[in-house]
Amino acid sequence: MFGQEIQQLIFLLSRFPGLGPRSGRRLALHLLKKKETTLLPLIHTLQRAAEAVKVCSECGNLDTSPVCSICTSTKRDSKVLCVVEEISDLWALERSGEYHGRYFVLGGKLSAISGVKPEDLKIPFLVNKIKTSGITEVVLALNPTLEGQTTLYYIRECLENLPLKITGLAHGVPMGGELDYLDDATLTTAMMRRQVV
Amino acid sequence: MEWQDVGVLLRLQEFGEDQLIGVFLTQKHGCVRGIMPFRVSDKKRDKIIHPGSRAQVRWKARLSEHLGRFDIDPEYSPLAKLMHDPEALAGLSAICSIVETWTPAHEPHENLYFMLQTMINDLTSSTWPVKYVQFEVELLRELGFGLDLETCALTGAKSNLIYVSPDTGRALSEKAIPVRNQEDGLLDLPSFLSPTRVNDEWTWDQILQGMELTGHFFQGHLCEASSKSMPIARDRLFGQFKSKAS
Repeated sequence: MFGQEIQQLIFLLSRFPGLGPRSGRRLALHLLKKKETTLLPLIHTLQRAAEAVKVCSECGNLDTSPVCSICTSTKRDSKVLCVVEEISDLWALERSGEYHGRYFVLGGKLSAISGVKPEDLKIPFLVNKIKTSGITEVVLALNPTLEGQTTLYYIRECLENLPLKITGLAHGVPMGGELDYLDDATLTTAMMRRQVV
Repeated sequence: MEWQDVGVLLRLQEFGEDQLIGVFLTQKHGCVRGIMPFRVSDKKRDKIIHPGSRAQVRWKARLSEHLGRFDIDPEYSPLAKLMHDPEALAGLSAICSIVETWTPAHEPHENLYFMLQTMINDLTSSTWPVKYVQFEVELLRELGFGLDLETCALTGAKSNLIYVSPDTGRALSEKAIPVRNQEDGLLDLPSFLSPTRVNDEWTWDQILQGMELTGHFFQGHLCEASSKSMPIARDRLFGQFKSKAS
């Protein structure tokens, strides 16, 4: 039905997150119909991104320079380091605008059930970085799941003997959330950690 | 086919782009896998559960051997109470891992289901390491490799049982083995596993002895038969107990 080039384009587009063969066909058709305004600029942008975007050697974030803009910024507090599981978590925290320190992306979480070990993540590199860069506070912003908390406690154990303040994110009711729709674990934690108002 | 049961979630694993596969140990249908009703990116949190949680489950598939779909109604989650206790969290991981690794799929183990629930509830107690080792002994029994820790294999004595034979899994008394020969490879039997124990006193060294005992039979009977290695979660728990002992 289609030429090989179109089939290949549909195949590649359908492999993007959230897309399937039907959305791949729709996108391919859209791009091919609007070649000048959409397809060619997209090709150009993808080409530039592929050449320019690098993984930051300090924190694991994505940027166009070998050390990302967060790590090189002088306005950031270089004594506070926030450890996150994935780059998407870093971007989420940046969206909040509340945190002004630096980051470290682990690239996953320890999972005894799936067999992810400390050496599969960048934990030894993280510990070495903390030891050598004068950090005074480490914020372990890991997900409140069984595996996230296991990773948190493992890192805490690795940093036990260092003169550091180690903190974690608070757990509880999300803003705008309704109690009736919350899971029991969140509600229990929120009630256990209730505070004076 | 479709059924409804109550089960404890043992494992959540990502499937494809955004879906999750859950493994439940159910009361009447044993260990069952299926696609979960929530996704990785789900915003509706009322159905999200974690390993160790109990839920009413409905499982649906065209054939019993297919990977079915779950619909769940969560009942209880221990995670909030264990979240701030690293050892208990490691214990929860180990419990879920050993049960999930070695329980055959679709084979009912009602006793094991109730033992698992009790064990998870016990994680908040101060004696949970003892209960964990006892749970491992019961798991071996439930899977058909029970140890005989009631009487001495040589003398029939019911007291002073201090060793276990690595071959037969039967207890041996101090009287039967007055001098221990290292070459025999006898395993230590911690006093809290002995039928004549007077109280639940324990030390971290005894917990390690208990885990070495059960670990030997897990390795010999279950790992080799199933070609699966010892779950990392159990090794990590052993490591945590070891650091407590030293």
